[in-house]
Amino acid sequence: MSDERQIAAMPRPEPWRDTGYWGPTDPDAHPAVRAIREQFPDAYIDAYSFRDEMTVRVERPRYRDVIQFLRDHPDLQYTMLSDETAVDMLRLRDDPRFDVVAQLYSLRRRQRLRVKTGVNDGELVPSLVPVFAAAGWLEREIYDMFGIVFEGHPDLRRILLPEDWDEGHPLRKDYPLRGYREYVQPGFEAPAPRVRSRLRRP
Amino acid sequence: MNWAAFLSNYIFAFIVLNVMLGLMAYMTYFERKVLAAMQDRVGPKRTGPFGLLQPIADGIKLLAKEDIVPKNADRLVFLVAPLLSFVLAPLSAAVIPFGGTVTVFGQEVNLYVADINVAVLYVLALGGMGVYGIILGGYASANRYSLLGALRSAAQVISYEIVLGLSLVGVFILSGTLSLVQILEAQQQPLSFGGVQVPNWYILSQPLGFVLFLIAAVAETNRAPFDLPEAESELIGGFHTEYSGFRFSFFFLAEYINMIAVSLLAATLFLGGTDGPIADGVWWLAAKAALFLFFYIWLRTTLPRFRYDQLMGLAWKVLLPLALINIALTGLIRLWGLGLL
Amino acid sequence: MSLEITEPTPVIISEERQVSDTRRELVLNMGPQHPSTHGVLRVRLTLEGETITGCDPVIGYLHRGVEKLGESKRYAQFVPWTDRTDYVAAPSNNLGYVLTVEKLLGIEAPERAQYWRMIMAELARLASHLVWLGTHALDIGALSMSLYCFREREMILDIFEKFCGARLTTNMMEIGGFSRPIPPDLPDMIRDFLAVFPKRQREYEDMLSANPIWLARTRGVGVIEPDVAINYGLTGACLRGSGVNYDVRKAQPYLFYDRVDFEVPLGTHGDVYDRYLVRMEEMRQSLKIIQQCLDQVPTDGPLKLAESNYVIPPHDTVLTTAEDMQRHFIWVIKGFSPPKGEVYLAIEHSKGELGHYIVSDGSPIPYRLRIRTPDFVNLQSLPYMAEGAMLADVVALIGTIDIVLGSVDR
Repeated sequence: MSDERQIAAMPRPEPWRDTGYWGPTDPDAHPAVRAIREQFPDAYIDAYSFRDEMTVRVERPRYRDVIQFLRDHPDLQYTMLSDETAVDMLRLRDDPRFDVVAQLYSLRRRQRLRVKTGVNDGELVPSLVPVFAAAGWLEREIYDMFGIVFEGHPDLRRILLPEDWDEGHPLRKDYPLRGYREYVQPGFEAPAPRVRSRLRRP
Repeated sequence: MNWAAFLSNYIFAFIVLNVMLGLMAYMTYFERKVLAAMQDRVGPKRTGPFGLLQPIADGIKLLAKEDIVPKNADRLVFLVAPLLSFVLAPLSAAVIPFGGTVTVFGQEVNLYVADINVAVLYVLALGGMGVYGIILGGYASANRYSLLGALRSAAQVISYEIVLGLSLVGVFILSGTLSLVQILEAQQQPLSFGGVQVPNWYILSQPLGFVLFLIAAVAETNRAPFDLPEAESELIGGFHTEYSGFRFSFFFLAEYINMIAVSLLAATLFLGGTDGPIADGVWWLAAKAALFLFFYIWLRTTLPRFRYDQLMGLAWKVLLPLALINIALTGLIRLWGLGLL
Repeated sequence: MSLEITEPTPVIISEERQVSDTRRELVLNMGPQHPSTHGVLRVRLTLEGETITGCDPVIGYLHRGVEKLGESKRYAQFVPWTDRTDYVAAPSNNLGYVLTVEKLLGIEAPERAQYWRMIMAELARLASHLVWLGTHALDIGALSMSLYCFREREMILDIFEKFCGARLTTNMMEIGGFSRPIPPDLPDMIRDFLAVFPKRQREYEDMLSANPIWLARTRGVGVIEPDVAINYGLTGACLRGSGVNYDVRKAQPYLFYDRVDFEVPLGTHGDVYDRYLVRMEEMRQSLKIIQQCLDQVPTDGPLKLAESNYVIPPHDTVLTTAEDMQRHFIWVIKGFSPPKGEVYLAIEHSKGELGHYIVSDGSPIPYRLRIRTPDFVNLQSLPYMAEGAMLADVVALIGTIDIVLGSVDR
């Protein structure tokens, strides 16, 4: 009990920096980044770290190949797709418009890695479904919310919005918060006059 | 048969029917109270003293509700099915002996409506008929869930009807009759083992048959854990999904009447009916039936529900062989006892 | 009395399909109004008899656009919205979001607040597991379990109420710690609960763990092999029931989970029964964690980070000092501007890995706020598990995945 107390009293190192949960913070020292750089010299764009997190950006056509490589590499083993989502970079940069972001996790090494790829409106992204079954619904959600089309997805339908939703893709930055249309709130449409007067009649 | 006997019989039948209907209403109250006690709740208490008027309030509520017939339903069958269930349910009480023969105002009155020599078969047949209400109602609702519930009910009744019938064969072998009155009389002679008087209840000579009967009876009345036709977590309401108002309550009441009837039957067949250690009478029958009804409710609070294939497997792979073994053993012992073996 | 419904014309969603000369399939539309789809899940089932040949979950009936809303609100304003995603374990959601924002800001709450966050998160896990157990057992037909479970959940909700005034949507945590003091009798309340709960849990296990019907309904049903579970991205008890050792609290400890002693239960068969056992054991481990936290937590000390522009100044100094009043004014009117960057932080929610991914462009409003809810990803495995199962198994499978539709649909 007493040494537990001592541990508790010790100040933590700089928070969120040296956790090691994402591997080394230096991209040049990160094994996954180095492996991608070696294996895909043409697809690798850059890698950067923020807090403890490591992000690798790759070219869109090799996106699936890079992730499959990371999954199957015997030393890396990013065997789990934690999350796949997209970011609309409309106000931050011109080209490409969207980022597709995959958060990978290695169960063996207990480390995460983020892989990003850019895509413009109307371009196809290689789907991750052949690599990770988890990507099925996640990519359906990206399609639903951003309109990004995944090549090789077996069942690309809307998932959260109704199948006949005709107002575009709501998580795009040019989509207004309340939608394009005006919806009459129930109870607020043309309130009936309380007193019927003859003057109102035409 | 003279007119007075006929009239007394008729009056008795009238009393039995109305007592059954009243009991069934208070059966729901009893169930809710027992369920509540087992589930750490209070149960109905606001309507009348101790909530005793709750069944009446429920009845009024159900009567006042709108009677909806779905558009796609088979209208005639939809309307008739609950009546079929409800009308057939109390009929089985006709053969239950509530006692022997008593003399009232110089007139001999039988404390049973009818003593037919195939009484048990009659009860089983009524049980089989009552299921038609469920099947037809489920079919006529034009609802997938109702249809599935009806199909489940059909399969379940076919399976458990057999077990139910076979579990009683041992009793017939011992008593040599199918008449409930005579079975009851056969149980009233106490057996004596070296000076110790033991009642000749068939639960003692037919324990396996009793257990089989109990399980099959729970399944026959569609009660938990065999309530697959109306499994609300899978089939919403099963066969009565589309029923509302008083038509729904007909199904509901039929289920409770069946429970009471089966309890009375079990008490008569296996527990000596009106026979008791002191002061034989209808109160013993009531107490024994109440025990069974409590057991029903106890099962409902405690056990999860079977799956459809497990239910069928239990009937055909476990209960049916056991019932056949029971018959064979009973027959052999009987033959040996008669000196024929 | 009888009335025929003529309007509107019923839309026939389910139809029969002739597969071959002898086989016909029935399409059954289960939900969104159904007693055991845990809310508004809709499952489109293809049945052959009672056997399921196809299963397509349809979600989105509770979609409220939480992520879009998050991109229109300042960082601190979004905390109440996290309650509304998984409303069964609201403090866990608060924790996940608040920790992610703190990571983005590079700050850390004081020690005492961290311990209390752990206690509240573990209580939320217990509350969530109790709802799961009650509804799961109710789906399988054990009627009384739900009432027993809600009896204990009531005690946890009372603790929440004592602590923050709310029972369900707690809005308990703030960026930088807690804004409210800990009520002095709260530790005793929690200790009372810890004393009562193990006995009650043994009662549940007496009712279910060895019950032949429960075993028949759960064993060998909904089996997921470990590699399939990983491939589907399952987390939480769904993954650990298959024997894969992944608990964020152990793998990547946050708060002080590295200072407490607890074990991660693992299943072996990956069926419904193993997931049940895993969750039951998790409840026991949660009690252990809470007990240790109560022993270790400092009895006094700050509950909130001071001297940081990211944190709303404490109420008493706002009223007495000019600097804090100005800080408070700016914090309320403009919010705070975090550094540019992106963070993803996962915590172990009662249902699995709850991840928040925040992209910041330096403005007081998140540029992109992504919530990776565990049940959304876990629910994806329902068609895999349901294939070839019976109709009655579907409710058991929905129960075992432990979904809350607010969290699935967001």
